[in-house]
Amino acid sequence: MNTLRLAFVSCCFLGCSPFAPGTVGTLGGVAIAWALAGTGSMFPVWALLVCVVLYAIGRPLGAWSEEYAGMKDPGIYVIDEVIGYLLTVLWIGGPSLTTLVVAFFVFRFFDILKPPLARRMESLPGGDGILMDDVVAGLHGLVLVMIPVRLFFPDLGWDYLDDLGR
Amino acid sequence: MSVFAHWPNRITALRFVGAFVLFGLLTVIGDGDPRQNAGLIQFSFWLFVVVASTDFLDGYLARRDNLTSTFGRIADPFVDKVLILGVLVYLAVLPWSREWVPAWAVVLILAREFLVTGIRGWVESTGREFGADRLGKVKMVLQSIAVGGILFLHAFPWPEEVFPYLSWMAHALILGTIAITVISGASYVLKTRTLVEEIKS
Repeated sequence: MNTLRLAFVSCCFLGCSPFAPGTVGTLGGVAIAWALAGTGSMFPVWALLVCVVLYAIGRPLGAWSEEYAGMKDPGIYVIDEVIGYLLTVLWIGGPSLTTLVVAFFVFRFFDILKPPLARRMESLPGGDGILMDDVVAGLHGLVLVMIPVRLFFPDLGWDYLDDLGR
Repeated sequence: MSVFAHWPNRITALRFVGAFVLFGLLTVIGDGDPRQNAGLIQFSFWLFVVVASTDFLDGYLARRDNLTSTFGRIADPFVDKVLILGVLVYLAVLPWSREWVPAWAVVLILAREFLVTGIRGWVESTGREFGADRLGKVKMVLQSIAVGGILFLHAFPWPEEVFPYLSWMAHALILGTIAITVISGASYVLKTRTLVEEIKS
């Protein structure tokens, strides 16, 4: 049962990476977003649904993972990064490869920067404290970078990377 | 614990790697027309934007989370200079960009950096702090905008009526950069002279 819990909170053991578990764990979010990209205009709905499900399962497992790792906000727990990334990439229509890559860097930027509001979330008790700071960081990425870029530079060549494969 | 255990130094290291990737891209574009290599030059532009705009990030995070280190203190300004001066050297050499970046301007900017580094070494050897002042920070920002501006000018297919206007702005940015670089260098010299006289008396 512990292995199952660990597999979930570490997003299929990505969070067990010996280096930069947060960054490696975010790749789990990239994989999920990529898998959902085919849903086209329904992408935001599906991504949001996945976020809600992950949050609902991840929240009670926060305390367990802190006990398991023996520290607060342990590195193995990366479901928060996955949710945060999915929020940043939450997009009108299915995301292209370029979007996935750009959103990865944008989310990690805000996650590492931890804007004041995200820092305040860390003091919430239990699972919320672990999850909400990344949710807020992800929303920062969406609202401050991804949406403005999409609105102001609609022709930025967002499918540049997709063209490489052709 | 490794110097790369925390994000500030990791960011510094990633910026260093990014600078060299950028030099590699500029080498690949080389003497060719950047418009023939639209993807490469656009990627170079965005890479420059990311590497240059994260300048403040490592120092800010290190100070906020009490992670300042000797490595960061030395590596951070080093990476900033390698990035800006490195790209300027490339732009002064490449045929499609040298119209905007005269070689003497790069020499002037390099000379200023060497002078300020020398002054900084001496001032810190007297046990005093020698951080960048506001003028030095403005210089750094303006240099980044000027270099980014020249990449921006070549990265996108501008309509013919817009290009001369943007080209003029790029010229103005470089001239502004040269001016503020010299002024900020001079202000350090004057400050140091005051300090020398203070110590003498």
